[in-house]
Amino acid sequence: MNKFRPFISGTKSDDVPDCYNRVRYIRDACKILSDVYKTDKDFLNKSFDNEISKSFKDFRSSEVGKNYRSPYGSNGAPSILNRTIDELVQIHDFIDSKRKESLEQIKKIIEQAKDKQSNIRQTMTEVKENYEKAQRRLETADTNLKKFQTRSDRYQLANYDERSTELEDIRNECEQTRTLTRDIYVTEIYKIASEEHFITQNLFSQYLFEQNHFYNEICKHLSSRIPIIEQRLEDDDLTPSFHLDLIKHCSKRCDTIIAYPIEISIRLLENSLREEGLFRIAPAHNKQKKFVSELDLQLIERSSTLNELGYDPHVPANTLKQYLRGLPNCLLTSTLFEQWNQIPQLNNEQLRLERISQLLKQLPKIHYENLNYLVRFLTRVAEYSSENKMNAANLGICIGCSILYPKDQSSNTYTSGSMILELMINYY
Amino acid sequence: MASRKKVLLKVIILGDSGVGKTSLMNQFVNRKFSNQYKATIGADFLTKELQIDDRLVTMQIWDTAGQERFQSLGVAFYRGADCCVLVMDVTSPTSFKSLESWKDEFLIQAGPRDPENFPFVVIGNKIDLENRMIQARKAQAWCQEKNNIPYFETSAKEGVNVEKAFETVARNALAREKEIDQQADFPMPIRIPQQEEQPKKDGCSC
Repeated sequence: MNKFRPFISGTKSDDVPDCYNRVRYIRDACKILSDVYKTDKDFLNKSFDNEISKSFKDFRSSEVGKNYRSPYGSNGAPSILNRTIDELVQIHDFIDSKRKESLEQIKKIIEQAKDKQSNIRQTMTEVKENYEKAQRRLETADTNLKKFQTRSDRYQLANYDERSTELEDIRNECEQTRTLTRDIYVTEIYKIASEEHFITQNLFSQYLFEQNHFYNEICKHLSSRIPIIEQRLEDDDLTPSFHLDLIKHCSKRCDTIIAYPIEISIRLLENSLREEGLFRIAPAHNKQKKFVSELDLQLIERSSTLNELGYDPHVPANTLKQYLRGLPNCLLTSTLFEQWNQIPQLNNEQLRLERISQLLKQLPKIHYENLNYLVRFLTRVAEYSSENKMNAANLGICIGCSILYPKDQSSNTYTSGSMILELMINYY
Repeated sequence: MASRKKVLLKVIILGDSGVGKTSLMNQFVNRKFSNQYKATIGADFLTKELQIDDRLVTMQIWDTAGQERFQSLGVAFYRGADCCVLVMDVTSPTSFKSLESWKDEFLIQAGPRDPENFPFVVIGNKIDLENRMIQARKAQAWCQEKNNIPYFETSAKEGVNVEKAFETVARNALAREKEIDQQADFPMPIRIPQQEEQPKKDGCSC
């Protein structure tokens, strides 16, 4: 007993053998599969990945594309975007070639499906027609026999018995033929139905295996390329420093671990220690914006001077504050935020100083060194407080909130940062 | 509005660091000036009672730290302000240019009703200094352009014009309060039609 029920349960009649619907289902499924990639030629010529890599190749050979090279790379080395676009083109070319390979395989499967479908259709039509023809003949012979045997004048006929036997023979012959063709019909149908497993395996599952193979290969390839792309982004020493993590930024600097904006701003202020209200007075807004963008592009040399750049001292001073405020993790670090914040609650200066030096030891090296660099400079500013009026207290108030703030920057805690910075300047 | 309840006006002083916000407040409230150069930390307020015509008003004056231009003081601080005083230093062109962004910052943070007509007062401070860079005419023109903001030139050090400037602050804040009182302070009440009022439809008695 076949344990598989027909897929589509139609009303079974004598004329429709078991499995008939099942065979029809197999046949139509093969047709659908062979239709899926009917337009495979089009598909191969116009694959999505091909289009993408083509438009980027065109872009690369355009005037803009050809002329742009990183201004800092040695000898006009390609910029990060340049190199990433190269990567993008290569990857899409790879996918495109793999897709072509895979489509070749799929095409083979599709052809098999097409053959299978037309075979089934042909066989089915043939055997069914044969069977139906035999059936009709039998019916005619049967009718003829019955008619003859019930003729009203049958008793007058001389050779009645002979003719009756003859008709009976014809009928029996037809019945045999019908049985034979019916057997063939059923056999063929069963044969096709029994192929279901192999058709599923060789065509449909194989199709999915091909797809799987294709995507696996793409996945493998992408997985091998992505880390390179990520690493390149990570290593890019032209990443704008504002709002970038201090440790990330400083680890990329070659001969120092002081952040570029801190180093440049402080170097520029070297001769401005007498400026009244340094770090307090705001500079012209647009000047500061310009200076920030210059720092982000690392356009300013260590040897530059304020005069050459056309800035007053308040520009670098305030930009330095802006840079510190923009760090995702503040100079005194968000990890230690709560501990720093408890310092004002300590009873006397001695306890506070002790706590500060304990916490300083817990700072990451880069944070510590940058803080040290900053405070060393602020100490010098404070030395000139009779002229610039910026004593440690004022500097603490003006800069404290830029070196200690919570991660979300929502609440304002001025006092701790100010007090801590004032103490650090006084006892540097 | 005949109510003679005590009025509290919240006034916020904004402006670049070092223009003299704290000095102005101290001169107005305590009639004192200190030569000490001291940056303000965070924000704090002083109050002063003032007689405006027949009304006694309490001004709650919030002094702010100038560096807060970049680190916003937060919405809560600005909310409910009745008047905003924008201060610049007539010897510092930068502080004059910053007025615009201080004004914007205030309007964004405070989000007052009818921002077009919110009372601002602009003060040009430090007129006692010799190296003036911003002429009164220039400041005046800017104020006129901004919907006629009153402009005062003061010296917190010598106490020149400070009283007058803050009196205008109080008057304008009061005037706005009256206006807002008269305007529907609450949305129009929604009338719920009573059953009897519903027009009866012809031919249906159910």
